[in-house]
Amino acid sequence: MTLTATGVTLTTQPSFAMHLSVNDITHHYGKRCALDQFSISIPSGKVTALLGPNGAGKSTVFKLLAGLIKRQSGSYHLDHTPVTDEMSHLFQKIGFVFQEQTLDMSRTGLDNLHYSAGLHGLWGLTARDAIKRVTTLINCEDTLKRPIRTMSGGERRRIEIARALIHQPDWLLLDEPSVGLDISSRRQLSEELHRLVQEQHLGILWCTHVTDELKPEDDLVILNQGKICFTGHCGSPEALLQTYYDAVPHL
Amino acid sequence: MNKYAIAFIVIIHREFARFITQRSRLLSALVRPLFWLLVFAAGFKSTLGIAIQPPYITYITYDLYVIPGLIGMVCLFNGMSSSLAMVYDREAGAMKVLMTAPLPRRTILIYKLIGTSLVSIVQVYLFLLIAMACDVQIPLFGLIEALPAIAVSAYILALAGLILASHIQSLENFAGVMNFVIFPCFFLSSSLYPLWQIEESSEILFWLSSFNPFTHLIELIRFGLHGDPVSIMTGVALGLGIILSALIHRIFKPEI
Repeated sequence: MTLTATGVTLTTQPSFAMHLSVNDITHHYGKRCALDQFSISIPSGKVTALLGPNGAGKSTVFKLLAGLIKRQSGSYHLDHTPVTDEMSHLFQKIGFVFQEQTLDMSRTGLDNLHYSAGLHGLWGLTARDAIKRVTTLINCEDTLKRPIRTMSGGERRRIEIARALIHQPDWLLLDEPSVGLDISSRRQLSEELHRLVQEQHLGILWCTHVTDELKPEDDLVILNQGKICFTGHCGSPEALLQTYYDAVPHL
Repeated sequence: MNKYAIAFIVIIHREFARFITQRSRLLSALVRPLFWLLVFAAGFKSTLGIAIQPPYITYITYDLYVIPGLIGMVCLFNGMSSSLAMVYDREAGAMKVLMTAPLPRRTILIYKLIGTSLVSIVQVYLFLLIAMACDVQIPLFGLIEALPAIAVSAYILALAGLILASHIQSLENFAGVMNFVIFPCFFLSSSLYPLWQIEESSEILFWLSSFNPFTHLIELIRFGLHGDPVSIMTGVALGLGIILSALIHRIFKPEI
């Protein structure tokens, strides 16, 4: 593992890997500094895990990348091309799965997928093909015709991930996607997402508190009080925990 | 089809699907103005006539006078309930899906406003049809001529709802909107009484009503219904709508 102070992920990547980079982001909520000179590079074809205690600034990273809060400083680059404040073209390349559920509860899974397909410019046969592709990929075809409110937490999560993949993004940003899932659903979700990385060459930024979801070869960034305090690989579950406790002082 | 047209269709479709599936919303959208028309206005009909004043060319009954105000009420309530839905969407997280669509945020918000306005227009015409069935003498051509005024008013009130939604932190705060926005807007206007009658009873109320933008939207609809479909006021209201729409992505905060 490589410990650096700059927050640059040092991993061996295939030569064709693209990078979504966040550079020197500092963000304040009033006087409180949520992120301090935060930089990260998310390669395609890899899982980059973002770990940190509550209040470390992980959700702020997601909100910034989703354009839900305005960037105060720093820059984003999409494979070396700077991203302007008008972030719509960035959203064509990224799929988001937020911590809280964001599905329309009164409508079916299929309706939710059609809505998202339409927002991404997919219509008619193209939309139907895209829905078939993602639901097969995520194994959620059986639940599609049920209203979301009748689905279990795991089924809803699958629909959300399918929705995030509908426009074939290069990156998937997951903010604690396994919250509320039981052990077997969590494990299954982790396996499926790692499979997607291999098969679709997706880049995933995976924000989590649950270390057993990660694989030894995944990249790791630990964030504490708005600052990056470790970058490297996850390693074994035991080594990952040790790294975490070394990087984040605890009681 | 291009991506803007597709996004427009799905956003409008969602607005209508939501409206139709929420039966209580559909019902209350019609019952509320009908209650005012068939109970409140019916009581005053025999005692309160309206003297000849523009745009009316003859003496009219009170139930005909309140129709523009009740149209405004339909648009106002729909604009506010749409903003309530937006606050709910933001709390529930559904707003994030819309905000991360690969379209300029201004475009997304304008599509949403158009969706809300179209729902308002449908409600207004349903209400007008029922009112006509109840023997209120609404001019037939007025139904068509008033459409631009109704559309502009519905859009501006939807915009007002969206601006409010971006400043309301949670659903609990929404009760305040009823007391501090909807009631003053409606009662301090020419919805129920002509301004000259308000002036006779209170100078302060007259000035407050005169400066209330809702009064001007009501008058816009009133003139539209009675033969003046494109007045200067329609242009002013449209201009205001366009300027606010251009700034809407700066006004609206997807996160509080």
